Amino acid sequence: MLKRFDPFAVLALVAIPGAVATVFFYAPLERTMGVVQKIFYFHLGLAAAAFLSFFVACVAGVLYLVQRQRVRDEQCAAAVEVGVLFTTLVLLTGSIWGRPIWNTWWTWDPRLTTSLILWFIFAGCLILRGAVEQEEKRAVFCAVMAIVGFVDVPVVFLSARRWRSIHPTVIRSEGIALEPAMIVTLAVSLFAMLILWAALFRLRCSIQRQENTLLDLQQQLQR
Amino acid sequence: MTLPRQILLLYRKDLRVEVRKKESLIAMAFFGVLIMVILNLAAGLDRRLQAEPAAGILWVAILFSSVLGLGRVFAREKENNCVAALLVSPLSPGALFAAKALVNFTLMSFSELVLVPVFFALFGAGLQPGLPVLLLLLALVNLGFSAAGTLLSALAAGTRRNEVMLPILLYPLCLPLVALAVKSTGAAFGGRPLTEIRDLIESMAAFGLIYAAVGYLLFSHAVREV
Amino acid sequence: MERATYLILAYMVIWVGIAAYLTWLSGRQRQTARRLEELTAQLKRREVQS
Repeated sequence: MLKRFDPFAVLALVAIPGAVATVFFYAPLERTMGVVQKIFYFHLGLAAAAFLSFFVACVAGVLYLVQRQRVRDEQCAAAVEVGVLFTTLVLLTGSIWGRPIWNTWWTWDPRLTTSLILWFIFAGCLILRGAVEQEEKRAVFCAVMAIVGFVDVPVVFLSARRWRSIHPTVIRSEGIALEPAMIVTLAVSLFAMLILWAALFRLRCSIQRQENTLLDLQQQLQR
Repeated sequence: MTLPRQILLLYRKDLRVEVRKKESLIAMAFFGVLIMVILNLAAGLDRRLQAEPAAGILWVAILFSSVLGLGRVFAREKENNCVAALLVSPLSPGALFAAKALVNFTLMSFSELVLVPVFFALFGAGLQPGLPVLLLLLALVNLGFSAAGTLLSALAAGTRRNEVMLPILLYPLCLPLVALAVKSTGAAFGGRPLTEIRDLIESMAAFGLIYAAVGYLLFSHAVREV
Repeated sequence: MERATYLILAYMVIWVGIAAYLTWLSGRQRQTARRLEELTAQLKRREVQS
């Protein structure tokens, strides 16, 4: 059963408004980009959480294949789903930021390309989960796909790196060339996003667990 | 039986089936040529293509047609419940993976024997083929695509929507390979020397080796659930 | 001020996206909980009968 108050959920309820407040009231206005730059803080937080999510999915997948425990499948499924959600939001916010700054919704920059390919792979993994009904088979397939998808990351990076050297670079890495106040804001929003990720991840895990108990009960009744 | 002998045995079995029934190869070559004709129409009939778009057309035709073969290789085993028989036999799942990947590699190579000449007949004007480079690139793409494709075709065969799932899962995974292949082939068609595309070729080889290793390790898990 | 629209749009996308996901999850959770209750009741009844 779901616990009423997940500590991470409570923390997220504090951290997210706090981060929003920091972004809007504490962070200074960027000189050339203006207010649009404020998208960047949450965009980066979402991207970090999404990447973490796919990493967790891969690790959970490996552990599932080794241990064959249901918990690992729950974690794998939850991580893939939350990761896809976050990547979707990263792509959308990035696009919205790019429109006024780069004057285009989309460009084939390495980082954009990597996120898009990851989104495709793990969304495919979600579709795969939907296409299999038997629990164990679904778990194995999802684990395999999560591992295979995460293994693709270095190659995607290798291939995308080359694109930049051919096309002119549009994006300049902000890096640490930020004002101290901006770095603080970035840290706060990154932290908030990771907390939110953890809360969503745990929620999704518990729902998966509940669905598994339901399946067990159904089988028990059919006998 | 040693591993190489197991692989050889399975490989010859699959090739014999293919030679007798000819169900994949003709379809692959036919579909590939069809795609090239369609893309020729889409690109505009009277225009001469640049090196890179031409390379793109070649790879689109090859990869879209080979997914037909990939799907069949595994679906065939599943239809007669041969997967269970293969798993009961003393052959190792790793050997099964290697054999299936080799079969896919061979099928792709044979269909390319048709597709590449047709490609040069349709789009070849102004391109510099550079046969050794092209052969190397074809081999690398075949390696990567058949390794990743064999693993994923096992997954796809386990679902009820086999034909739909395979391309959905496989193409996103192979996007970097496609990008690398198009870039390097475009450069080769443009007459640039091999040294210039060395890092692309290395990345393609890395893709192939990574998926050969991952497939070899994960295939036994996947195939037991089919 | 035109740039502010993009900012608002981006933040709306983030929070609406997450809210939609949460709504979907809670709907799913409620459905499972209902089924679970039904089945538990069914199981209990069966035990009583036997």
